[in-house]
Amino acid sequence: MPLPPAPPAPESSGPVDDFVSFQQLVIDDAGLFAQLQSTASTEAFIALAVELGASHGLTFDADHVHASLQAARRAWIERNLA
Amino acid sequence: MKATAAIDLVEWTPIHIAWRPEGAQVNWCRLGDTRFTEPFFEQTIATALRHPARLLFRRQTPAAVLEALESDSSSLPPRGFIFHLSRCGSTLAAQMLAALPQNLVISEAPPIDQLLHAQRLDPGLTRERRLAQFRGLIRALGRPRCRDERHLFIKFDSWHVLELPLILEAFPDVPWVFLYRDPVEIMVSQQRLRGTQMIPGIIDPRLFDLEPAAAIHMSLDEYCAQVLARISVAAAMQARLSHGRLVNFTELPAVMGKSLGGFFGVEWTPDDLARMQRAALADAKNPSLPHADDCAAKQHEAGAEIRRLADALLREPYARLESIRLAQAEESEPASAFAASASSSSRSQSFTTQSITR
Repeated sequence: MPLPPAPPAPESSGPVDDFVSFQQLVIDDAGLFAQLQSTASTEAFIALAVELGASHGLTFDADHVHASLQAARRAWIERNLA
Repeated sequence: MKATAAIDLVEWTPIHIAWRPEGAQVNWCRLGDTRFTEPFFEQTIATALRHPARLLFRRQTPAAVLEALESDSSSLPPRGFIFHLSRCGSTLAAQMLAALPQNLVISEAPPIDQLLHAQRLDPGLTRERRLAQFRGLIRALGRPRCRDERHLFIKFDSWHVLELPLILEAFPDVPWVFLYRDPVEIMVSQQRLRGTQMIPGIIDPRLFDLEPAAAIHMSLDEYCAQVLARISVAAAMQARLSHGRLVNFTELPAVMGKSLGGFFGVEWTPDDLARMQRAALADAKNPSLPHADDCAAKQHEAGAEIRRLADALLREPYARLESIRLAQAEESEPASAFAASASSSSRSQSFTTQSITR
């Protein structure tokens, strides 16, 4: 299915900021979340996240998504230690 | 701001609340049509967070947004609250309820404990706001995620009996039960594997009216007996003041049938009762294993110190609970009063009226 046309790219200072912007975009958009939620593997999820990000003018690569996943897992495990 | 928060959070479930100097923060996750069928809320969340989308795309809000949800009409009104003394069949009760697709069962959800804890750390929070946040949290947890869900049951942590005044002020019309058991058997279970509330410091001993300096000099068994005593006394007092129903472990699983169904205002169908009965055949905390009656083993395992502590600190509170329970049984079900003192040693017994009254 073709992706929707890309909106104007927001100003950013790099891939990390772009990924944070993408997270907020998905949090606010149930449709985007549903697409990402429908992926059957971590690899497919990461690939789709990069693709959807690019379609919204947000540039980050698979390594950024992977690192964010690891950080989120660690933060969840350590949530009661903070 | 309140209306916006209510709209934005419709698809979101609170899964964690963290205390921060600037105020408690709620972590929310999109759970979709996830059902809470595992023994504990946290297990269902852990399973849900295995998907990277749920893990990465969560949101955080101040706890104040819960206040906007206190009258959220999309949520199920609570049908029943389950309190307990720990290690006394409350997980079995929750699992039997969760076996029915019409029941949404929230079992020992950490956000409830975390909110109550955060509120205790914030002396500036008014009673009204505490109540509003608590109601909002229950509403947010109680949104049906599946088409069939229409009855909400909340099983609290054992020490939340001490918060009953607030909980009942927030939800005065919700029927509640308190499950308990021969304290010797509970103490043996706690000796095998201590719950967090039984380790001084993980939960502030002052919650149990115990001074931290005194608590660290107690043996773990004595601390356990002290905690059980405080919870038992609080449950007995509240059962007299409000309309809670006391349930002894020996009444399980039969009591979950028509007796508690009626108490909660729900009529189980024969199919419902059969499903609940099947759920009772499994080990409540590890449903892949069959249930095994462990009363005799625990009594055999109890050493002299546990028996001494139980006798000194728990005999009287237990007797008080039993006295109230038997009086309740006579008042509410004169024809089946015998059931209140009867032991249901086998979970394979049926839910027929006859078996309940034997």
